[in-house]
Amino acid sequence: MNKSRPLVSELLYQLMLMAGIPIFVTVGLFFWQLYPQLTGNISQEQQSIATLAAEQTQQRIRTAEQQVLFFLELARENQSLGNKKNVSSLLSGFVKQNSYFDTLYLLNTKGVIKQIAIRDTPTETANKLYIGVDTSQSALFKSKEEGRYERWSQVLLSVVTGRLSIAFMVPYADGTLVAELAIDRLPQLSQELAAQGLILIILDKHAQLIAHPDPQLSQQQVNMSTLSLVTNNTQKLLVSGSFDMDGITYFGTRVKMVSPDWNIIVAEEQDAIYAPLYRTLNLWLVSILAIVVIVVLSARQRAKEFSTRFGMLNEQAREITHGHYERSIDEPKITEFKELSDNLIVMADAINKREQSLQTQEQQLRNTLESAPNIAIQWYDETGKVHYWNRASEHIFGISEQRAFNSPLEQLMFKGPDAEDFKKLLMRVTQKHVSSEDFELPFTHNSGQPGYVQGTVFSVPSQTGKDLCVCMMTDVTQQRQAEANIIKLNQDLELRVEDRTRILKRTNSELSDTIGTLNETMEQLVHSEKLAALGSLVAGIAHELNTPIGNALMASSSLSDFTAQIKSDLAADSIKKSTLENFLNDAAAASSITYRNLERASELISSFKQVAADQSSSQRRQFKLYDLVNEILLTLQPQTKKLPITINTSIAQEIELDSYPGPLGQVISNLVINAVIHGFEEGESGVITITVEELDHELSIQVSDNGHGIEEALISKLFDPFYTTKLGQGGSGLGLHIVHNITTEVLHGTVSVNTTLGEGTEFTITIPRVAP
Amino acid sequence: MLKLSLSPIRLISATLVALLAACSEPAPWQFGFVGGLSGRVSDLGGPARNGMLLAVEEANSIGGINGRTIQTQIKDDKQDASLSVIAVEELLAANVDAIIGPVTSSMAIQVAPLANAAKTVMMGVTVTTNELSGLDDYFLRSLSPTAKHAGVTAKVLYQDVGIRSVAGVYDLRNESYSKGWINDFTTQFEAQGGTTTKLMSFSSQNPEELLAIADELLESQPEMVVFVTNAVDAALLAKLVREKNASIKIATSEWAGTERLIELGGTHVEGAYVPQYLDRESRDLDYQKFRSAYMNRFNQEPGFPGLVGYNATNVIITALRENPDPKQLKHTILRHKAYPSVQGDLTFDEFGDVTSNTYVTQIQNGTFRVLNRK
Repeated sequence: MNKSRPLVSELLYQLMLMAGIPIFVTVGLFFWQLYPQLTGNISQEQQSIATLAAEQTQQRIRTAEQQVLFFLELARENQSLGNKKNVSSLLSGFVKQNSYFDTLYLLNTKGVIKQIAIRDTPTETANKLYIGVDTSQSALFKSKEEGRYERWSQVLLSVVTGRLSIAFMVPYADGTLVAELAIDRLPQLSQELAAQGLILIILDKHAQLIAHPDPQLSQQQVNMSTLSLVTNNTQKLLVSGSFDMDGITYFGTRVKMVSPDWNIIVAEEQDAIYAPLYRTLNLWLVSILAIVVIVVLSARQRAKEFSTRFGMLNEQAREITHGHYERSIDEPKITEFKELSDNLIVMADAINKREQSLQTQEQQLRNTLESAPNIAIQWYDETGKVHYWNRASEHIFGISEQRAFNSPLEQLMFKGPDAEDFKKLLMRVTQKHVSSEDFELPFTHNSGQPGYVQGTVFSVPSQTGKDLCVCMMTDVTQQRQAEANIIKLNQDLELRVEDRTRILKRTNSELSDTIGTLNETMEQLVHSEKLAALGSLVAGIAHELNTPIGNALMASSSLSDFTAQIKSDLAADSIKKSTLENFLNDAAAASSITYRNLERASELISSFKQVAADQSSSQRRQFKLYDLVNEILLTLQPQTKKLPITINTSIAQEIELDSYPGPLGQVISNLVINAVIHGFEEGESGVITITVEELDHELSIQVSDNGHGIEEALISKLFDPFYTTKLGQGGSGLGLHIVHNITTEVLHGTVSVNTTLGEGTEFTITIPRVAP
Repeated sequence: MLKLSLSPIRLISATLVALLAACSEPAPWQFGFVGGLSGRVSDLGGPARNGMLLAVEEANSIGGINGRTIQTQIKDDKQDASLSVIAVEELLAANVDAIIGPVTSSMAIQVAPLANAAKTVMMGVTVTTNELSGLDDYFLRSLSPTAKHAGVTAKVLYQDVGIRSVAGVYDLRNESYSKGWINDFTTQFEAQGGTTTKLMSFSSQNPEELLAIADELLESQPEMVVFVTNAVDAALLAKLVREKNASIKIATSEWAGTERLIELGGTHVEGAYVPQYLDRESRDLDYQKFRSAYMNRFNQEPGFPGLVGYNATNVIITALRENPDPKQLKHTILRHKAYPSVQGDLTFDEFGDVTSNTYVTQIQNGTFRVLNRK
């Protein structure tokens, strides 16, 4: 839940926020706009100073150059440089008079000094010391070859003065005139600027320091090539930026001079530049703090005033609550407060009117409650004391309103534990402000007559602020009596149902016994069916063997007769050659017949052996379907041979199965016999076809006939046990049931039938090549 | 509620505190440098300072020493003893972690006691005076003392070049070095069997003095004149003696063996014998790398002062990486003993001295050619 907060802090918070936003906007503006502008101004100012300094320096250099050139002009006019004596005095004169150069000398083409004049040194001494000095190895002389003549050298140590100098070189006659300018003259400009808090640095082409406010530093050949201001944007004529030197950060501007190839840097310590800026910033922060404090204090004061005003209005509202509807405070001077105060009074009037209308409504409600004839309505407080008792209550319970008001709950209509329950219900409803569910309680009429009431209890707020329970009840005594009668009837009915159930259970158990017996009988029948199959097998064997063995017997007995004949002829010595030849021919034929027929008998026996073993053992093995079917058909020959029925097979020889040959044989045999018996009328000719279709892992074996088919109504019962259309004509009714059982349970396949009346029937069994 | 409404103030103060905190980085190391940076001896001090700067810049480019960058404070003593003392006092007052310099022996003699008193390591650059050898002090250096270099030079000149008599002159402004050197040289030279015809000294403030010196040296008729001076004076002296006697042989001490000697002397110093602290023709990869970095940075040859300044500074940097306590610096250096440097390891003895090579060169066609490479 949101906690309410006092007006004082809320107002304070809001005002702080209002003051804070402009402060932060100003800070932002300062850093985004004002700060870059200020630094921009500084760099502009520096750039103009640097440019000016560069111009001044350039000017001085130009003046110096002009003096040398002027001197040369003069010398040329006089043709005096050819004359040694004249030259010497001319040079000395120039060194004395000009304000820049300390040393002037003439070099021959090999770089050897030929003439020299040094300021403040006697001509003779200078000549003795320096004429003949070979400068050919010096940077000065070497630089002469770099290109442009009439040029300034870089800073170098003077051979003559031993001081750092720059030299202006002009070609003259065969050699060169060199005017040396000691660079310690240049720092004057630097020092002038240093007085303004700026430092001015002059660097030569190789960033060697030429001038610095500290004149000593100028003499120290400091190389400043690593200064970021020098390394960055080397080609730019004017660059500004900060850089570090001797651990101090400077903000400076570099100007590139053209001739000589120098750089001039004007810089100022960054701290010094920003000092006024930081002072302003500090002042500004302090002002902000002051503003914040003032805002806090004044906001507090204002909030307190508002708080007092609201307090007074509060007081007025409280007065109204207590029924004083007149204005109890001074009329406020602020419009909004006055309007609020007036509205409170208007509100009080409205409340008053609404109260009166409520009273009227209450009376109407009371009348309605009193006039309800069958609904007993009572009001209770949470202790169970009656606050209202309508006329219907008096009638139903026989208790007067007067008595109800003055009696404790236990002495009214509910007695003992019922009274306790009712009291608990009242308490629960008042405490939890819920409606009770419908309840039903027995009661005792004032006359002592027992009865039942049904009712509900709910709470309503009362004038005292505590909840009251409203209880509404109707007399259900008559309904309860009717219900009691119904319950009795129901109990009788249940007893009867139990009796019936018991009888049914007994019948049921007898039935299951019967079914058990039937199942046993069926198994016996199945067994006997198997035996019958074996019997027919044996009959088949006997029948098949009959022919070859009979043939063999016949041939061997004929042979025996021939032998006896020839034997007697031999004894009578009446044997002729032709007779012997005939005998030998007949004997060969007879033994051949005997041999062939016995071989046939042997084949038959071995195949019967296999069939018999399979059928009696149900063993699993690998076998060829082609062989199996042929053997089966062989055993069936006794039953089919005499009938005009042809059995065709279409089975590939190489189909091999890993399954149960005995059961499969029985299935095929049953299907063939079924077709023979049921497909055709007696003496009717027909064709039975056995075909095999190879599927992926399965085989589909069809046994079909072109007989008269099966009626559709019978198809659903076809595989049921003991179902037969030839009862009493040799059909056991188990043949197809066995087919179904073996196919599904032993071979793990399926069996289906497809038949058309008048055209024939086709049974299809589908089994896995490898039985699971 | 009232507290909550104060949060903007808190926010501002928190921001300010955060900004201040972000500005503080670990304090940088402070390396002081003292040496003659202007005037006639600036050919030692300038490159020495540059060598130091190169080493410092290289260290800073990989994050300094243990995450702290190095700042340098550079003082010019103008080869003046009083200025040198002031410079070192200023550096010590600024609490530098180590001092690199000075570059000449006479300055080193003056300021070494100050470093000892402050227990701050002072790593001399081209200081070779014998007077500071074998002392358990805070003055360390990365070159052998003068006696060794002078001895090798005397031996090569006597045995290999075949010189039998010399006349020498030395500069009084760097007496601690020059006098020691000429004494060691003549002692060794005479010990081999040579003779010294003349020994002179001068103060280089006045070049006019050199005229008379050149004459006097030649008057003693030596086979060779030996200059223990700076390069500018050596070049001028060479010119003066050669004008009088074109075939006179010339030798200098290592002090003059900078690029300036050739630049200023030109043809007059051709054939002169100059011992060097470094092998200028070294094909050693480290040396080549150093030389090219130096030339890129300063646009001039490092010479021996540049190399020695670079090596000396790297010794300090390596030692501080191993033990960042500057008070322990001396012990760290001496305990560690061997430091890899350009042109061979530097091995410190218990007095903070090292043994370094001497390469005797001859100026041929404007370049120094080593005569005694091993």
